[in-house]
Amino acid sequence: MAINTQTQLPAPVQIYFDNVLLAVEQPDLIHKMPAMKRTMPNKSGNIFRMRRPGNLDPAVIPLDGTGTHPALQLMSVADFDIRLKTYTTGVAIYEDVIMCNQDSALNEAALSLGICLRETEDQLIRDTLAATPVYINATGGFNGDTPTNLARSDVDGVVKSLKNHSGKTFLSGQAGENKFGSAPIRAAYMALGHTDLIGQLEEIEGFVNTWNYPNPADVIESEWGSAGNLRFFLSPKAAKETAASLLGADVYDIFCCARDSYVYVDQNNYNSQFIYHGPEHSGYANLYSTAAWKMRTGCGIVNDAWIAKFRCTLG
Amino acid sequence: MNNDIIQQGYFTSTGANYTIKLLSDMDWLRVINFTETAATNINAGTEYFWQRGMGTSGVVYFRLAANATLSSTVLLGGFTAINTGNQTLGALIATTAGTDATRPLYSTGTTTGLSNGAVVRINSTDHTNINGLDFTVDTITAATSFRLANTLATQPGAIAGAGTWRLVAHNIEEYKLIKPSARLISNITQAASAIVTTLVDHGLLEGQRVKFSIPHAVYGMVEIDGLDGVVTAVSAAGVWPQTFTVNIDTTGFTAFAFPTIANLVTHGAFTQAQVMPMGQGTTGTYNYTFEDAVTNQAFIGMILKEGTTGTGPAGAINDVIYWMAGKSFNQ
Repeated sequence: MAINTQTQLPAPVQIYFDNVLLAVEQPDLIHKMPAMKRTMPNKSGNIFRMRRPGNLDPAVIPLDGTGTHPALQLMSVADFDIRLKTYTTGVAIYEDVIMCNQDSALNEAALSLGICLRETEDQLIRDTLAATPVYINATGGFNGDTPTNLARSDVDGVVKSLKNHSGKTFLSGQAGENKFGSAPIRAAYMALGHTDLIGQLEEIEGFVNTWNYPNPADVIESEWGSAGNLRFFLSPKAAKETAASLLGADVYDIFCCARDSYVYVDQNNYNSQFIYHGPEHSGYANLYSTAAWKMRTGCGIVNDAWIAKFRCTLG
Repeated sequence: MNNDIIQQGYFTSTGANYTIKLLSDMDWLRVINFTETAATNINAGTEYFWQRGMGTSGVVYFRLAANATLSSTVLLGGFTAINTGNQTLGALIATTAGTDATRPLYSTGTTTGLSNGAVVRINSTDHTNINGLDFTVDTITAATSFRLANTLATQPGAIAGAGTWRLVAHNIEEYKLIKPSARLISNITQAASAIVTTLVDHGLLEGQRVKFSIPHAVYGMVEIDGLDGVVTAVSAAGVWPQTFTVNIDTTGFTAFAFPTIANLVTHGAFTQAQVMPMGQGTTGTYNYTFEDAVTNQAFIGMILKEGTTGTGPAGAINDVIYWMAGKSFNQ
């Protein structure tokens, strides 16, 4: 019996295109979280200046009862300037794409541009944090490298450094609850690190994973856990120095931040413009559309004592 | 829409490599040595051309004889396209030896990519005290050796054998996205106004305020830890070692020492001595010029190699060089 198959009767349409796009990689972007956010009005130049007054000396000498005024003190200030710059990128889509494609290419472009904008913002902040503060090497680990892998003594050393300069914690902690396997979480500084550190963190004495927090529902996706007075937020886009250790291993920068240590500034809320130009703007033949993002921002550390660039290698 | 962007400019050669900073990306670059075009020097390069796809090579047009007849040939290594927002480390290259000096000289069979002021990362089986650190280099002998440009307070303590180096940046302009940035310290003098040397050229200007961190006694001068001061002078550009003077009196301080190989064995891991920018001072020509704002100074550009007689588009000293760059829509 002759049976007709697809060889004789092929389907005229042989591909069905699913109308739901696949998920794209959207890394946790962690570097903007601890920043002070400021907006500079337009028509104000391109430098955002912040000023910190210096502390006066305590006056511990009692008056001598003669009616003489003690010496007055001079005030001091430190100024910090952040230069704002404009960033942009975009795509052009030829009319053939619009004409031929069943899916909405411009919608896909908008999605990609949005991710690109926020990754750019995150990288700019990360690179500012990587370039300017003094670093502290981990030295308490066992791997024989410089810096070493993470140890609890290193975590405590960083916390001590921030506390010694009166850095204020971001997070108020979580009191212990009567839940099996949970532990109270201390008021903490934010520690921003690379996802390669997963595993290393678990080996720190006293480390508590977010799922062992009294209220794990209160944490955000990027938070991995807590050790001492540091709460660790991880991202695959965090800082990593290639082959920069004594033994030639990669070095990971963990930015440990107290409150008010660095600032992120935009101008006139000009931090996420989406710009679309239809084909009528592309010339006499209306050949292509464009979509772009643009932002005008700057970032800078304003108190180096309240941020520690904590470097370590893997164990 | 401007999809064919043209940029142009000119400069007078200092006899060193020259970095062109562009406002946009480029697909081609044309360089004219105006001085040599006017002259009648035999074999002198009058024009150079690079197009994306040529790598670091290009085409050089040169004068065959004293008349105006031009010939052309391929020029190797004359152009290095850079994007400082997307830097990657260079490949590992072997070193065969290193001297025991405060400015160690490393022997290597390949110096490709190096010129005075380039930044390298060293890894040595013997000079372990400088492993993983970045250094500016100078005194480059092609395919033979390079020297660490900025003087260490203390020599390593032994002659080095085999090791590696890799290119981090062709020059300080390419080094780090954000400027000014922190540096590791190689020496601080004991003086009424201390003179500071850093492993990588400091890149500071007069009036900048800086803060010192000496986290370990192995560096000696722990008294300067946590102090900040204003830069009162910087050494001349293009001359190594690069130093800056700061208004901190270190005469009574312990002498600064750079950790030796033996120190490393004794102390194990420690944090390096560093100096970091922290705003601006209230005196000096730099004050309120806004130039020390923390700034993203990333750029796209091209490093032109210096050279006489057609060996480099950046030309010889005092040559006047014109250039134009373009971006193609169909690239």
